[in-house]
Amino acid sequence: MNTIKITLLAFKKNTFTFILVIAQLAVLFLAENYMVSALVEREMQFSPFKPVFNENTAFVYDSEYVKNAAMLGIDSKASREMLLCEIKDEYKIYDVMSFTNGEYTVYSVSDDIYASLALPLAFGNYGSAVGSFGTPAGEKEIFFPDGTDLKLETSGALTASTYIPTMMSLSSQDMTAGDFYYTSVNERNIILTNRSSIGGYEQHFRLSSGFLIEFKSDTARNFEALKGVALTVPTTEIAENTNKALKKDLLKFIPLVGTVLIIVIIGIICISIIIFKESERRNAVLWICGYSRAGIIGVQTVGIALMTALSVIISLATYGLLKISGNEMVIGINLTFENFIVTFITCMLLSAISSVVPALKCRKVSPAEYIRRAL
Amino acid sequence: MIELKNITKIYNSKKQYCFQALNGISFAVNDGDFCAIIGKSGSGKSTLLHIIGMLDTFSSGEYFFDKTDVSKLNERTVSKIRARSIGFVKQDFALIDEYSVLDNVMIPLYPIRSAEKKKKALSAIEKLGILKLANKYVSQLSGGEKQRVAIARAIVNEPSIILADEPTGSLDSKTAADIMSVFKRLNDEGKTVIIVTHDMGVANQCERIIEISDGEIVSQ
Repeated sequence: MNTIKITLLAFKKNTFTFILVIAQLAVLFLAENYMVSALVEREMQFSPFKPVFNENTAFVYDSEYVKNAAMLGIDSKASREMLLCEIKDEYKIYDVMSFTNGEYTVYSVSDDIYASLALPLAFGNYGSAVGSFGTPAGEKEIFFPDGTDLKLETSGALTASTYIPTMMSLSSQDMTAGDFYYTSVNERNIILTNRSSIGGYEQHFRLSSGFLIEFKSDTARNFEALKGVALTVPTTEIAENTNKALKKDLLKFIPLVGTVLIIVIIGIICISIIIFKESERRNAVLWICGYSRAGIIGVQTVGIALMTALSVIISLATYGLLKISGNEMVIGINLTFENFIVTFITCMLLSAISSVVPALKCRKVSPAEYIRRAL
Repeated sequence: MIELKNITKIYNSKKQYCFQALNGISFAVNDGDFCAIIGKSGSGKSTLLHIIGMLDTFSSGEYFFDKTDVSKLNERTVSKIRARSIGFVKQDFALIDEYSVLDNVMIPLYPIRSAEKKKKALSAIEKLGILKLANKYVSQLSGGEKQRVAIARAIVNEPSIILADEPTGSLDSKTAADIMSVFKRLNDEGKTVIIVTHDMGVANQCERIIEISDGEIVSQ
């Protein structure tokens, strides 16, 4: 308690310096979390797609325009057929969902609504990424369990360059497979697969309003219809391409990672020295008053720990504010477990260095000499 | 009781530019003594005071504090002895300006519980006649008031020995006389007081004078 009080009183002495140091620390934590987020994101965005890449996966592109004034749930064959008959160009399919009872739902929206549903494409090169899925169009018929046909235009063959694109500065924690496709184009991609290939990701795709069409009864027919376009590239190749793309992207990212790391290390050392210099007179007085060398270093460490805690709170609050205002993607930070661990390690490092710096400084100096210099 | 036997202090002993600050210092200070160490600037009197106060080590010789050989003590024990038995008063007061008087006086009381700490600190402040200044910041005080705060801090742990390094050096003659009367009163209460000074007027108010020159005792 006493050491905390001494620290708080020291803050009072040089309020401006300490505010500056705390702000610097907060920025440092944000920068560091950004770095970790960006690294972790690369794996995160790829992992949901890994299980989908198998021989039963097909990527198709819809060109069916369904007229609907708003989102519609269609649960009877008659209305479905009526709807499909009234397809007009200004509406686009928003979602197609099938249910275990054999029913399916088609959601369609106008261009305006569709545009507002799409995530803002603030950063990244999604256009080229989408292009990698191939574009040569070809109309294919999809057979639904109840016998209804829906004509879809395939995106074309998966090419040797197909990969899951990286999404710089897009919050992957909030990103779903559906989002992944929303960001792609004004035209839609649909993942077609069977239940077993989706596995545990089924709910994930459903919740994300992903374009999942489940083949329940006509799997063989559907794949027969699609095999010419969907199975031309082994899925392992897509995974390899994605890994290559991730590595390439990571290489571009290394200078930023390196710079942040250097800033973190220099920042920690500078902060430790600044705080120590600011505290020299106080430390001398503590020595006069009977504190031991270890006690003084302890006070120093508590001071740093307190400032670190304040900085973490500020950086979390900053993140929180950005999240509330919906701008967290601007800095691209996710509060993941990895971020927590890295921040925790940095805090420990900061405390350790802040103890080592005064310890080195005090090591060979007698209290008298220290007091003489400080007072 | 303090006993020094043949104490020497050499700075930078392993380097070419070593300097011998003390050479064969031997004397004893009994409990309740009121003692002045005088000498010119650079004579080694402050170094001697720091060694007595265990803020500095000596190169050779023996130092017994209450019959305990100080050279055999570890740093932690030395700190404990300093905190419990020795009070320091410095020429420049060595106070923390941004602390209040009360906070400054409470610094040496770190192992004690908060309520008791405040009680003890206020008692020491009252003893020095500056109770009304307790909540003021040190930066708002005059030199004489600051030195009283420094003395209050030095006695708050009720140490048996008070070491003062040029305690009147920064004060005008009237305030210096006031401060000396405080030391005299503390000595009357049974505390051992050792004052380092180059001012003969201050030294003459002490019961005993040890004069050092070039690191050696020339008279005591």
